[in-house]
Amino acid sequence: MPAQLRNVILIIFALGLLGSAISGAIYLGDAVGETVNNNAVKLAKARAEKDALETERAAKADLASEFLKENPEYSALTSLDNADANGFEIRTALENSGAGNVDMETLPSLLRGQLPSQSLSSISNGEKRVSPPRMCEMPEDFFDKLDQENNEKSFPGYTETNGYVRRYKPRRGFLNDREMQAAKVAWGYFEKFTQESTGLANSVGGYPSTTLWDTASYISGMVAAYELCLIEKPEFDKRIMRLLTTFRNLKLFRNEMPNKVYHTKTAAQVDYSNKPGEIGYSALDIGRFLVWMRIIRNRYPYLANTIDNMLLRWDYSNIIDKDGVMFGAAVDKETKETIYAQEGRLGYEEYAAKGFALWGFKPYFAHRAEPYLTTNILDVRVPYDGRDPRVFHSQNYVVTESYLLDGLELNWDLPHDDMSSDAIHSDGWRAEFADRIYQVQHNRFERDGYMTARSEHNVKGPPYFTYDTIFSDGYPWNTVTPRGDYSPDHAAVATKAAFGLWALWDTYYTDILYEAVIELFDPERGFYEGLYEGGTGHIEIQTANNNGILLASLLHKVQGRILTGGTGGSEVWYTRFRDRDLRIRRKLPDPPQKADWLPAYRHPAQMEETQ
Amino acid sequence: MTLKPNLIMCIASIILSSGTSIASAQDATNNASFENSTAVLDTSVLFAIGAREAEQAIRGSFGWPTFQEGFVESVYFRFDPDGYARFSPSPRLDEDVFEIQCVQNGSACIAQKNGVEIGLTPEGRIQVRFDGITPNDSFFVSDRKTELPLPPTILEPLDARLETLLSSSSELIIKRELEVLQSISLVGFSAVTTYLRWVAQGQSPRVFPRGWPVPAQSGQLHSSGLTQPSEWETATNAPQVSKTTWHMQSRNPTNTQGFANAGFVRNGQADYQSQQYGQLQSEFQAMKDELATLRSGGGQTAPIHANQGWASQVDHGTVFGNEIQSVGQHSDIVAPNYSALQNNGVETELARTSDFANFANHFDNTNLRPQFGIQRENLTQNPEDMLLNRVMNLEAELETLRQLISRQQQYGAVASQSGQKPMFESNQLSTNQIQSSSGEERIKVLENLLLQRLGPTKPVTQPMPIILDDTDSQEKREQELVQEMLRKLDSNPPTIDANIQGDNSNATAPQSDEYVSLSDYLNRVLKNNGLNTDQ
Repeated sequence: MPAQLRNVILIIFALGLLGSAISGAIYLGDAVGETVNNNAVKLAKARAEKDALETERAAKADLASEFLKENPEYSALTSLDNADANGFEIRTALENSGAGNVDMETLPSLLRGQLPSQSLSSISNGEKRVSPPRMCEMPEDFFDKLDQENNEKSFPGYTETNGYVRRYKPRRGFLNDREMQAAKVAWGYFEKFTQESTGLANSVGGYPSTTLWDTASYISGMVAAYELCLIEKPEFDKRIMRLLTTFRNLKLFRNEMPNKVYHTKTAAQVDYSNKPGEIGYSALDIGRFLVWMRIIRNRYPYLANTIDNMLLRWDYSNIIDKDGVMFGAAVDKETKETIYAQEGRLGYEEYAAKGFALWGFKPYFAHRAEPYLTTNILDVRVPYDGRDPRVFHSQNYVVTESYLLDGLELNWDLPHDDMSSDAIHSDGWRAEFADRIYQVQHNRFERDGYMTARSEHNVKGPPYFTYDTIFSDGYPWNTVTPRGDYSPDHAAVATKAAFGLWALWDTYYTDILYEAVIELFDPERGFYEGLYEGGTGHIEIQTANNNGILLASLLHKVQGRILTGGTGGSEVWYTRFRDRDLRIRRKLPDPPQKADWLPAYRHPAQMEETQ
Repeated sequence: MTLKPNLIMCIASIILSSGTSIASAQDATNNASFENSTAVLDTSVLFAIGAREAEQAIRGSFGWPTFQEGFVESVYFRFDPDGYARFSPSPRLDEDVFEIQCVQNGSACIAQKNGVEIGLTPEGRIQVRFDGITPNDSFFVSDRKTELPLPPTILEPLDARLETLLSSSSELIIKRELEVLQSISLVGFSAVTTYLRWVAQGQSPRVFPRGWPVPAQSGQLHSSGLTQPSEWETATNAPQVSKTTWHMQSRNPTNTQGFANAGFVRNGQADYQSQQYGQLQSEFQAMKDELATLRSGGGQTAPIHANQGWASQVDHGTVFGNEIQSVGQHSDIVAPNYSALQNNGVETELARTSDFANFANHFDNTNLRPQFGIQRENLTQNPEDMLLNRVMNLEAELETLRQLISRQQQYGAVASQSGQKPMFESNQLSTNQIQSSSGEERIKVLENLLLQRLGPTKPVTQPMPIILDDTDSQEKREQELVQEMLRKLDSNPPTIDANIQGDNSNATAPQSDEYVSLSDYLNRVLKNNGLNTDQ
């Protein structure tokens, strides 16, 4: 190879190397510059984000510190760092964990509202109870399958978890012709006595006045009429929306809770003589109303927002205290100030407490049976409230109604129980007490010959209302007026009690009760209130409560437990007003977690008596 | 032509609307009996000592939030604002119960027990109705030891004697031939009849018989009442004063209920008393004039039925009882004023300024209210003069009343909206009675009028002996009734109430014997007319 050619080659190679080096350097410089630039942008962005976060955090911290100065009792809610930085992760982790207790106080308000309510099905990943089909949509073999499912062998008595298995079975099946006729007649009451202007139904026939208790009975009648195919959805929607809209705009007792009584034509607050005026509120009435709000919210999710917003208007700060005692309100005659007094006695108190618990409240004390005593009537230990009427100035009537409602609507289950079998009652002592209430009336029929289905009921003329009790004031089979007069002439087989007993206790005795009341109606006006024990005919009065409970009894025969499981997920009821202190002021609850559930009690006295 | 369809439409709409309203009315009647119920009683106004107003828990949409309960005349009771009440010897109100229901806004109340109904006639007399009796059935009262037969008048509005007898008996027995058809406990009869009158008279305490534990009502003005009349929202629901007007009510001479229950004066009472005062004044003036006419003229010879006036009163036995009560209350506060008047020389002044100056001197030895017996030394006195003396006393009473009225007005007495009804007949009626009579009859009329106002001071609350012998004449029974009443009158002198007298009172002032008791006077009059049983 000549030397010149070699030099040329070397020169070219060197130049190539130089070019490559120069190109590489250029490339490398570009790359480095770009990286540096990107990093600077990112850094700027990060700084901006950090500044924004810090500004926001500082603002929130200021707000929080101001709030905490005014409300030192909420000092536990100071973990705002977690809320901003890790809140979503915490929530996700909680959701993924599936179970376990959540320390709600460590969560910020916004997050607490978004937590899903915990129920038995959500905790145990079980199958949630769903709404059964309407009667007209049920397959013909619906109850055949049901019988097979319910043929689980279970022995009467308390379970390990303090549930209860009854000796008696409820009636289940399609309605026969007589029962369908009864349902139509009972619904006829509401067709006749519902006010077009407000959607409210009269409590007693043509008298345009109602309470929340009776309105709940109207809703139960409405749901039953729809589910039993007496009315179709347009009619149901029209009625329920009219009613809920009225409640959405209802004038509240001193901006707290609904007044005890409203005029059905005007929805105005009235007193007991249906004249304009405010008289307070009843925790029992509201409790029953809340049961039915939860029932229709779970059954008809499209009504959820309407119901939630309606209930969010109410101020719950005085109706339940921190111990879970329920309070009613009245007006002091002299000072006109609001008087709050514990409300509810054994039977009604626990039923109403469950209504509150279904909406996340914690009525622990109200749900307990204590203090209670028992008295021996016809070999049955009948439980009654142990609070002395002479001291507490409140009667302790033992009647059938509250136990019936608990059974028909809630299956004597605890509020969080949305999956257990109908044969096992998770609120065990309630079911067991209900059996006693049935048994003592059954025994009276067998031993004394008196057909007995006792409840509170209206009568025509003074005293207008009687407590037709199994036990009160120290006497068995005591029929008394609200002011305490003994009024045996008003003792009666209450139609609603007879139907309720018939639905929940499938026995020959309730067959007789059924025969006594199944045709006890005025075809134009609904069922009469009852049949006088003394042979003086029927009580010539028709009421919303009587006809509503009657329809609920018939519905129970077809569908079983009326309260079904919810849809799950977040609820406006729990999420709204999280950005302000309104929830705290009104004591609106957080979604109930497992730790908040009402406990299943089992009383030592019960155990001794039942073993 | 276009009007025709419109007319038809109008008629159709009227028919439809009337049909609707009829249906609504029927609904209200059939199903909402409470709607027709009206508060007629204020349960904070106590019926008897020891009663209390209480609240009741109501589960339904209507009812009465308050009631009153208590114990009186050996029975427990409870009543609602609409008048519905129960009376029973058992605290549970579960045995031997009188149940009372009121209709027509409380204007008519009926008490029921075991097929017996007790109500008030428009004149305020008690009437008892029995289920399933025949004309041949006989009636007896029993005190569990003996039985007394009752006259057939038991089926008519009761007179004072029968009412008193029933009140004091344990049982009313209905017999058919010799067989006891029914035995009805009369426990609570007295309380129930008083309650019926109390309701019909708008809770006026003046219907309470003597011996009734009249509650002190001053306290009710402040705290004891849960039901405040001002709280009733509407007129229809407000405690209403019954529209019932009794004969008794219109005859009742003086309204002194507020005084009998001193301390509690309702709104408008002062005005009402002013009105009374005016009526009394004019009435007595008319009587004075009439007496002056009698003195100057004849009127001595016209024969009269001496017990005519009594008979009319006895015939309204329950009425009379209430008049007695009212007058008794009146006397309680008027009596001291005699002393005051005497101390102040008022009667002397009256005597000087009238034609009756000498008349007063005739009674130097006569007690103002003799304790017992008949002042026989006065038998020779001119009855007309004595009557005039009573008129003078009445004028003194007028003065007392006037003073009370002014005092009440001055202190702005506490008021209640429940109106008081006129409790004595109009001046015109008295005047008419006087004018329509003549001579002795006129004097009798005056006597009766005065008797209503001044005479008896004790109601007939104790059982009076009843002559059940059919052979006795009506006249004799009436005479005996008069005698019994006089005896009771004389045995109950009015008390002196120094509190009402104020500074002018003198409770210890010696009683004057310038006056003769009315009963003495009446005895003499009856004796002169040959009706005194002493003869």
